[in-house]
Amino acid sequence: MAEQHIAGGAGATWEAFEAEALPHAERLFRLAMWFERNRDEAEDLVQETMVRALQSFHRFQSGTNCRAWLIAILQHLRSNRRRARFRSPIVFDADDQIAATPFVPPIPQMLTDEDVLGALERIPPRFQEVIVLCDVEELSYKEIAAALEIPIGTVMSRLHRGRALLRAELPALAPGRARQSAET
Amino acid sequence: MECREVRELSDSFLGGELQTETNHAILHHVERCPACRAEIDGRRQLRLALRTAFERSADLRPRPEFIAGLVRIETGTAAPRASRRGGMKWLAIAATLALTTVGGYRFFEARLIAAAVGDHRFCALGLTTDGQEATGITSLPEAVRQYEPGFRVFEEVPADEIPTSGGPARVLNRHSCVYGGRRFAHLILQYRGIPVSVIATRGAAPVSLGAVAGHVSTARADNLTVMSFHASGYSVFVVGALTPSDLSALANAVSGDVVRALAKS
Repeated sequence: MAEQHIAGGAGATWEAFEAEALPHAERLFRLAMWFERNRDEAEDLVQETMVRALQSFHRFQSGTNCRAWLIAILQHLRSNRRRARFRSPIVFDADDQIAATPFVPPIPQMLTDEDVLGALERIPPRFQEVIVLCDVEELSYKEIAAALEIPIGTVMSRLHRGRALLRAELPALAPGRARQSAET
Repeated sequence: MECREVRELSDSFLGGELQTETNHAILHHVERCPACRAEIDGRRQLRLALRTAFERSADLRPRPEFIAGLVRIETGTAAPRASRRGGMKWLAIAATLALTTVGGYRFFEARLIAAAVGDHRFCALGLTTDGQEATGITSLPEAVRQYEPGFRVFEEVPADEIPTSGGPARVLNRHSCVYGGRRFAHLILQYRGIPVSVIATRGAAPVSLGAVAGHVSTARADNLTVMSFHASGYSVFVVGALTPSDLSALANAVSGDVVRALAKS
């Protein structure tokens, strides 16, 4: 996408877009970068998200959550790209099959950024998605459901399961390590 | 409310997803239950730790020039990207437009632009696409000595820092280059996070530029805004992937300075 033409991207629309949407670009990039793990892909995705958002900015309702709206566009583009890459459907929802909740250990204190991101990285992507959208991007269940195009009940069950998995991945010895570093 | 129920609802509680009555029931419970209070605190801490880790991660940080370049989606040119940039196409287009305007042509040909890109794209770096020293690119003082004494003005004007009503612009590079047999003074500026070219060449004022010195005209070409003015026998073009309203503050500032300096020289 070297160059794209924006039919309605002039005047008042641009002013509003610049004020409401552009400030979210950095956070949007972090999100894209987390999911794609590739800077070129993430830049492409964010750029295309912004172009699409500008094209349909007249449909954005002022006063609603602009970041949630942008994330929904980004997620939509991601799933389109995934579909294009793999012709057969690759995502099937196994949430219902995972009924049993695993043992939930207590949350360790003094977690480092690496501890938290490392644990997040180790859980399946569909659980990462809902956790990041909920806890990092602070979207509501309803907004997550819209962004991922899944029922709200699925959002809740994935969050429940995902959080349990995340806790199981957190380093159990974090308090000891914190004590150790305090002593040295 | 029992502990089991509080645990089940605690994330929805933290996310503000519960009704007021349910919130109250949970708060009432945790006042008397240290274990549930610790559990909710732990979950709150984990959310905060995730958010903070995302914000601090250097791996997830975007390149500043990528974010700054996103303003270019308005004009339809893609934001600058790390490894796939196609070079400074706008330099070629600016020079082509200058040539055709000074020559009195109303339009310029796509073919001419396409041919220009290869020759002129890295002129700011003094390199052609195959890495050889480009011909015709010289320092501005050298061009003044050898070819165009009138370019002396552009050694200092506009100043390295240009205050404008739309924010400051900074001159990054001044040189002289040849395009299509015509010599240009070429200044590369940083303005509102993107590169903008100011190019000047000696030539009679085309009718389209108007008879009044310093009068700024606007044209749009290939997603670029080209603002031009004429002064003391020189045609000057300010070119960038910005909207006319954004570029006009810079063009007007440059025009004022250049017209005054050329009149004195």
